[in-house]
Amino acid sequence: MITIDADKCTKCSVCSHVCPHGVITMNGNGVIQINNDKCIDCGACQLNCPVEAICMTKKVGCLTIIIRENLLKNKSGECCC
Amino acid sequence: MNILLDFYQKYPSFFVALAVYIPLAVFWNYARRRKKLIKKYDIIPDLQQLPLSLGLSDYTKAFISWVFLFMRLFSVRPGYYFTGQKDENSPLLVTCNNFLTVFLLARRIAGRSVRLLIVNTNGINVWCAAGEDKFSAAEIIDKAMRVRLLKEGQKTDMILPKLCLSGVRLSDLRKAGIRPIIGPMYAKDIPEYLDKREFDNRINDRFQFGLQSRSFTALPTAVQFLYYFLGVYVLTFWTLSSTVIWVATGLAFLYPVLFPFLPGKQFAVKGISLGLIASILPAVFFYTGSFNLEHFLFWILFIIATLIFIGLSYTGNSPISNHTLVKKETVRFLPVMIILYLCIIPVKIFL
Repeated sequence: MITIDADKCTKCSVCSHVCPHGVITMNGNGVIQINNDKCIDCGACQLNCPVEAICMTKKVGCLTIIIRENLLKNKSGECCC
Repeated sequence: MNILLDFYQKYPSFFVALAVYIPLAVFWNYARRRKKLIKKYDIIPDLQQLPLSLGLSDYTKAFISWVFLFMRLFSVRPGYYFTGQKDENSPLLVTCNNFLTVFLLARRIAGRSVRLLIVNTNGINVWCAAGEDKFSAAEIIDKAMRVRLLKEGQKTDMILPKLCLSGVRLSDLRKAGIRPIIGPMYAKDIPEYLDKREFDNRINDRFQFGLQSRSFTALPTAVQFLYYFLGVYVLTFWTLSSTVIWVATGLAFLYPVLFPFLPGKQFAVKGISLGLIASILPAVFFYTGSFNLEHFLFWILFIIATLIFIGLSYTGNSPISNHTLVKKETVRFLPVMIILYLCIIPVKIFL
């Protein structure tokens, strides 16, 4: 889930440019809209935010990783793809 | 020997499954070992012709790479390549060293003078490599430096695939003297993009999980489940009918194709929905007397459990899954799947 620190945000719109699913959009008045239902936690927005205004955790939504992390306690983060 | 012959005559499909499974397992193991070798690839120092002729052998390798997508069998040596005419001022695209990705890209840019910087992602595609931080700014800078692409006081334009941005920090590239350009998301859009010669950032490109994308994953998903259930069939010896392999494979093919039309939001719920629809067939067979109670219960349990498995597994094959939601789904539906599979045992023993 994405949250944006409004005090830090400079409205540079990099987050909306790099998002592959159109989760973050900016309207003509510079108001940022977030559709968290579409977000897949890829982390592109957070990684590329120049002022670190975006708070979210990048994770891969994959059964293999979830089983490795939670059942096998393997935190390497690698999946089989 | 006679015992073996008798066994073969009684259960020929077991031997067929074994004959298919063993070479696949050996090949996969070979591919996994080869991936370790790829890590030792030295970068090629000079601009070289892309080593893909797009001939029969490349098409064969691409087809095998696609069918066994989950095995990641082939990769391209990372390096600095060109297609068309050797021109150090031609557009520079950055991509991963997954064979299928490079092949599809090479097909699209065939006949055009383009340079390619292929980074080492251990043979993983752009999206997954970026998710695992293998396709990163550090990797791009490292490869660019090794091929002497970066020159002091000079900016180098690089067109990046949009799907790599979850692993690549654009500001890090800028600091290293690279001018990153957000390129198209799909390879099909690249020729038109290159022809324009004005390389704008493709900020409005969005990922569409349409029929074409889903169909692309359907065959590999089916082959993945064929492989799994061949293994199950071999491990459980002759206690299961070989039909389970083909049913699981068929369902694994259908699931991605029908994905958006299946009721439910979660992957596993969509699986259960398809399972209930598919269960109509054994119900009809039971009603008409073709199936006894054992067959009927076996197929109902097997189909629904397998479709939960396919649904949960498809989270990794699709680019629209969210970690938090998949984790919730896994906690909720993985035990259901295991219980359904375990229920098959008393059905086989007592009925």
